[in-house]
Amino acid sequence: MTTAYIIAAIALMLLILLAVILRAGSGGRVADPPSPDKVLKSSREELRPSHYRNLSVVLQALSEQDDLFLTSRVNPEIRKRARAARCAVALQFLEGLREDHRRLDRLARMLTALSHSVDRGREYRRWWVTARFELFCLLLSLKLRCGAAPIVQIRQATNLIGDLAVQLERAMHAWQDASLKSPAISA
Amino acid sequence: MQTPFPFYEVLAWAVGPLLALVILAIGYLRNSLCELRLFAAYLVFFLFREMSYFWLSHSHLAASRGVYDYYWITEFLLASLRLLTVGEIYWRSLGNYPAVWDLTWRVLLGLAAALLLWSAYSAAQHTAKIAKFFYNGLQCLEFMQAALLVASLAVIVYYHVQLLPLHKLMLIGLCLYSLVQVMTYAMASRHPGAMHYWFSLIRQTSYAAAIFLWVYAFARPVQTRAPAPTLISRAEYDDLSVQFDYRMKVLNNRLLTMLRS
Repeated sequence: MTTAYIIAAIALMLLILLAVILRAGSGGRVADPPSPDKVLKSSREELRPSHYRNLSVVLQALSEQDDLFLTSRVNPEIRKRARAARCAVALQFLEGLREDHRRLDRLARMLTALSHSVDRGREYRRWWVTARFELFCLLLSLKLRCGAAPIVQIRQATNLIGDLAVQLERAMHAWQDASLKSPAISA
Repeated sequence: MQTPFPFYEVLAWAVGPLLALVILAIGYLRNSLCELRLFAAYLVFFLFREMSYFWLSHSHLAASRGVYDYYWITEFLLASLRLLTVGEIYWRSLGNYPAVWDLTWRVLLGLAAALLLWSAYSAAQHTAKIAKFFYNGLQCLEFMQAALLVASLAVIVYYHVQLLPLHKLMLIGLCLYSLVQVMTYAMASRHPGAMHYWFSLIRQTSYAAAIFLWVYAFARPVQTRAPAPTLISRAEYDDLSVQFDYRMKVLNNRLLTMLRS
C-alpha cells in the first residue's frame, strides 16, 4: 500500500521538477546554443560582478562606528529599526554576491559545453563546490538574520569575486586573440 | 461492466493510431524521421500492435489468456522502444557537445542501470503469471523512463545545450505520458475494480495528449539537425577551468570561515 503511494508521490515530484526545469530552460536558453562569441560578450557585459562595487556603501552601513553613532544619538526603538535595516542591507548584499557567483558558474558551464574534452574529476568537483557555496550562503544568511554581521569576511569574499572577474576577462581576451590567430583552435 | 463514457473511450483509443499514422506521413513527406529512426520504429510497432490487438479483441480469442498476455508483452516492448527513443534524442542533442556527453553519459547510464535492476527485481517477484510479470516490469520501466527524461532535460538546461523544438516537444510528451502512467499504475494497483476504468481512461487520455504534442511538433517547420557550435581547445579549457576551480574553492573556504567566525 505504502509503496504505491510513495511511487505516485515521487512521480508527482518528478512532474514538478520537470516544470521547474522547463521554466529554467525557457526564455531562449534551451533553444539558443552558447557560442564562444556569445560567451565573450556575456563575460564583458553581463558576467562582470556588479554587486561588489557597492561594498564601500554597505561597509559604511554595517560599520561599528555607525553602530556606535546610533547608540549614542538615538533611542532604543529607532536603533532597533536601524539595525533591522542594516541587516536587510547585508542580506541583500550577500544575495548580490551569490548572484555574481552564479553568473560565473554559468560561464564555467558554458565553457565546459563548448570544450572538445574536459577533465571529469574537475567538473565533478565543481558541482560539489557550487553546491557547498549555495549551502554556505544559506547558512550565512541565517547567521545574519540572527544578528551577526561579519564585515571583514564579506569584504574578503567580495574582493575575491572581483579579482576572479578581472582574471577571467583577461583570459577571455587572450582566448579571443588566440582564436583569431589560429584557425586550428576552432574545430 | 457498463462504462460511463463509451464514446469518449473509443475516441481516446482511436486517436492514438490515427495520429501515429499522421506523424509517419508527415515524417515521410518531410524526411524528418530520418534522424529519429527508433521513434519511427516505435510508431510502426505501435500501429501494428493497436491493429492486431483490435483484431484479436474482436475475434473468438478475445476472452483467452493469450490475448491478455499479448497486450502486456507488447505494451512492455512499446515502453522499451520509447525508452530507446529518449536515448536516441539525448544522443542526437549532445552529438555536437562531446564534453557534455563525455561528462554525463556515465551518470545517466548508472542511473539507468540502477533503475533497470529495480525493474528486474520488481518483475521477478511476479514470475507465476506472464502478464503480471510484464505488467510490473512495465510500471518500473515507465518510472525509469520518466526519471531519465527529467535527468536528461536537467543536463541539457544546466549546460545550455541547444535542444531543437522538435526534440523538446517530443521529450515533454514522453515525460508527461510516463509520469501519468506511473501515477495511474500505482494508484490502480491499490484501487482495483470499478476505479480501474477511470485509471485506464486517464492513461488513454494522457497518451492522446502526448501524441497530439508530437503531431504539433512534426507539423511545424521542422529542423532535424542542430548546427554544430564552434568548440574551444582543451588547452583553453584547462587554462580557464583552473582559475575557476581555484577561485571557487577559495571562495567556499572564505564563506566557511565567515560561518565559523
